[in-house]
Amino acid sequence: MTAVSVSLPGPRSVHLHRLRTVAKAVAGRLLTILIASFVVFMALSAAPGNPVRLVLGPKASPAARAQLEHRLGLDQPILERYWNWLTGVLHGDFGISLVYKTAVGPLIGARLGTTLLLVAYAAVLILIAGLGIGVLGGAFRRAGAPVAGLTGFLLGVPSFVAAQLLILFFALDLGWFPAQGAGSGFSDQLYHLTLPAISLAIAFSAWVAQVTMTSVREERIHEHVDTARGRGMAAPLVFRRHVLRNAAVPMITVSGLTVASLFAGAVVAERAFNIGGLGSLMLEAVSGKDYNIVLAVTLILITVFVIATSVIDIVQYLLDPRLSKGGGR
Amino acid sequence: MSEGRRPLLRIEHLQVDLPVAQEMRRVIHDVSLTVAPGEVLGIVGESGSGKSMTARAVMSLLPDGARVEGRLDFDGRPVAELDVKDLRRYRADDVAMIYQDPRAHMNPLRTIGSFLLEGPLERTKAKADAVARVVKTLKEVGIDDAERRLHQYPHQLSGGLLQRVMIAAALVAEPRLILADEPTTALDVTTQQEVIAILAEQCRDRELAMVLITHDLDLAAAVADRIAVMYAGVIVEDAPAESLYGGPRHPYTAGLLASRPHLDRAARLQTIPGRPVSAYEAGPGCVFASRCPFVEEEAKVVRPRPRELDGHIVACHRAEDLREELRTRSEEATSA
Amino acid sequence: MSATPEIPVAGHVVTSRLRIRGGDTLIAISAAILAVIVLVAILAPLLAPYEPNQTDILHASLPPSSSHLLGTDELGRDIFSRLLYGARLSLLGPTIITVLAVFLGTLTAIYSVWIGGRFDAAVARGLDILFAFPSLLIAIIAVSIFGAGFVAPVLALVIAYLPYIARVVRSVALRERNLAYIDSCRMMGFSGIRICGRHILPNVRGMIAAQGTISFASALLDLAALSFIGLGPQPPTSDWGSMVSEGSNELLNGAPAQSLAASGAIVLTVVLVNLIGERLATRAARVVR
Repeated sequence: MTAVSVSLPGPRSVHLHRLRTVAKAVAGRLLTILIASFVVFMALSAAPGNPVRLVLGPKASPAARAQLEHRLGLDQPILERYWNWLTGVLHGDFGISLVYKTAVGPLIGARLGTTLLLVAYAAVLILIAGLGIGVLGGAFRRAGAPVAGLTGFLLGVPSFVAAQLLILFFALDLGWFPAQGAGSGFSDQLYHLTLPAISLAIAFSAWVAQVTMTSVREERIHEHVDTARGRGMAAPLVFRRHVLRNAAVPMITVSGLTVASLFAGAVVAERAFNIGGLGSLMLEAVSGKDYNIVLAVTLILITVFVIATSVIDIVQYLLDPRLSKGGGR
Repeated sequence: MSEGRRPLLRIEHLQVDLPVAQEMRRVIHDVSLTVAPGEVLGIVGESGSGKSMTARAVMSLLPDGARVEGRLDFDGRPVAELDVKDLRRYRADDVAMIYQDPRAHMNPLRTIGSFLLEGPLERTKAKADAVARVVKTLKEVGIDDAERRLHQYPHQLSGGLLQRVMIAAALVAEPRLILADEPTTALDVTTQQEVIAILAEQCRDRELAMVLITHDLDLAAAVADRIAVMYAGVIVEDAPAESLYGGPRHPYTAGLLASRPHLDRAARLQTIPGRPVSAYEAGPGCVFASRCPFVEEEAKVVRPRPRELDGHIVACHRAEDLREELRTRSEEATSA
Repeated sequence: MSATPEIPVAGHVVTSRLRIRGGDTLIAISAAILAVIVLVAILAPLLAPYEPNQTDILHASLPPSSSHLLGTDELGRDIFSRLLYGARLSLLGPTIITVLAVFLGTLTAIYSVWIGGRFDAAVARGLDILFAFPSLLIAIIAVSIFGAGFVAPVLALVIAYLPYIARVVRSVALRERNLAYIDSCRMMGFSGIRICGRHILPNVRGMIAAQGTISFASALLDLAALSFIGLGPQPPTSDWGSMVSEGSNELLNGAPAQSLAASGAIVLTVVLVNLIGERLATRAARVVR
């Protein structure tokens, strides 16, 4: 596939301008994360219910309570507490867990691997199935209605519902996969995480497939595709170069959003399959009012989301010359 | 017509139906045309007349699900019977199309250079050669800084420039027939003149045949050797340009001529009453019957067959009778 | 080549170009079935053969029979009755969320666009920040602050869905506001509210309807997920989500009835609502053209 490769050494000012735009965007994103963390911190701090009470019980003496409060830093003004937390986080210190009585960081670290594996596994399945079916549905006219119907239905199957069916058929009836647990060791974990990954993948794949299919169909009827066909180019080449390439941006957007949403969705899958990952840690923290963990996991989730959307923006910027090169005539 | 040479393009009784909202609609009733090598044929008609679809039928680029009947031969071979490989070769080497809106017809994510080279690089591996040819053609259509333009993207060029690029792309393929579908409609008036001049000049120099599709009768008369007037999927009149322009034999042609605004005197704008009708909307009789000032009962029921009259091919029941009437009218319209 | 506005809803992007054959009959049937479901939920006390929380250990884990249409769960409760009663909360929650999110979102968007300037920029910024939160996360945080139950998740999801509605309304409102005829209305002295109500709002109606419907489906799924992980209504109250959760233990023990019944109810309702939502979206997009 020959193409005229374009890399003109542009004038310095163009590069600087681009850098500045990118820098501004990144700064904006960081600010978003910061503000979000601040809002959540404030909200959690304003929560009713006293964590000290929970830990010490209602019969504790005022002195003991005051001592614990001081140790946890709860007697400081709220802005100072936020600042301390923030600076701590930047050093990798997420505070102490109320429930486990150890540092939050390592707690999360231990569980993060499992969740990451689950999310990555699901993401791979989603991208292959979703993008694949979407492209096929978009390329072949007659595939449109069946794909639309199927994906429309699957969009209504959330991961916990899919989990029930998968466990019923593949774990209990057929015995191909374990019904619960995460396993240990890489390949054992992969084995255990297969059904959970599939449960997450179903609805998301449907979504990705729909967006992809719509995008491909829209591009297919663009006039410039006719131009290429009219010049005698082979159909597969026209499809690859003029349809797929142009449809790439929405496909990438939806893929990025999917991966970002998977982290939050993993909470449900972990519960359904009794997996000890970040999600279940979060749920324990919620019932135990272990705010440091809640904060830390929230921060991670928001950061992942923001990174994903930033990557999407960057990719969009790179792929579409109309965004990077203004109309200079 | 073709002075004994075999026509390059011969269309006989072309009929086209298109699927629209789950039903088939007739877009072209019955079109017969010929184009000789090196000849410029103008197809003039309002929107909905089916003129664009005719061009697409020649390229075999009709929308999915279209039904085509009739003969369409290029250089003696029926286009409908070409297999996939031959069809591709036909589209790459024999015909080339220039579209109305160049911006919509170019991939916004690829460079001008990529666009221009796509065609030639299908045929040859010699890239440097192809680039040289493309640059040369760009200069011939009036784009001087051709090398720079190759690296630019469509959104960086004006409409007029883009159309020239489109023309260059068509010429680079070295076709024998160019189909120009309203090539200047999307451009402003001054650019229109330039672009059409370039097109005409290139066709002359390279001895290319061209089918120029337009709604502008004056434009067609200026450039074409023959003009075919199309209405509601039917060719109502087909004649040498000067003869048609000076003396129309069909009421619709006369109406078109008369409805052009006068630049030299203040006079009420004459219009053809009613609105242009598409092929599927027309009734069983003459397609123009609903708007024709000379209509008689026969025209409402029987569709007139094209026949020869004074060197014109006319589809009108009353062509002979109306000769005088139409001549007087057109003289009034064009007299200063 | 105008882009069809994509209507994203907490993870579900509406693809408004998809057309389903046999369109209108399908929509009519969907609406009819949904109406039946709503009716059943409202009339649950009349239709349910048993009390939903009445335990009967002697008749626990029975398979479906004529006296218990779907059998009983581990505590002997009639699953069919629980399903009917569960519909109430499972449908009420999304309704409240949709109504509030649409109302507040539309108000925010139109007001913000009308005021314009820095206020509008600040609102846009705020919405952007909200977008960084997955809806489930907002709900989890709300629950950790206010405790599990019906209220916290519902309010949290209102906040989570608000930006999606607001964004859709904003884009239309921005476009409308810049049209010349709005200026001429202003010059004639029409009050802001009147202009917004008479001129901007009707143009947004279609899209709001579509977006709202899709939001309903998403809210149902999210609330059910929250109930499933235990953050929703606490026992003895239960909705479909918690039924799936309680049922999952029974499923592992060989009695899948409760789990499957509740799952089926969720999927059926969501699919039907989505069908209608997509049709509304197609219609709304056509008007935009």
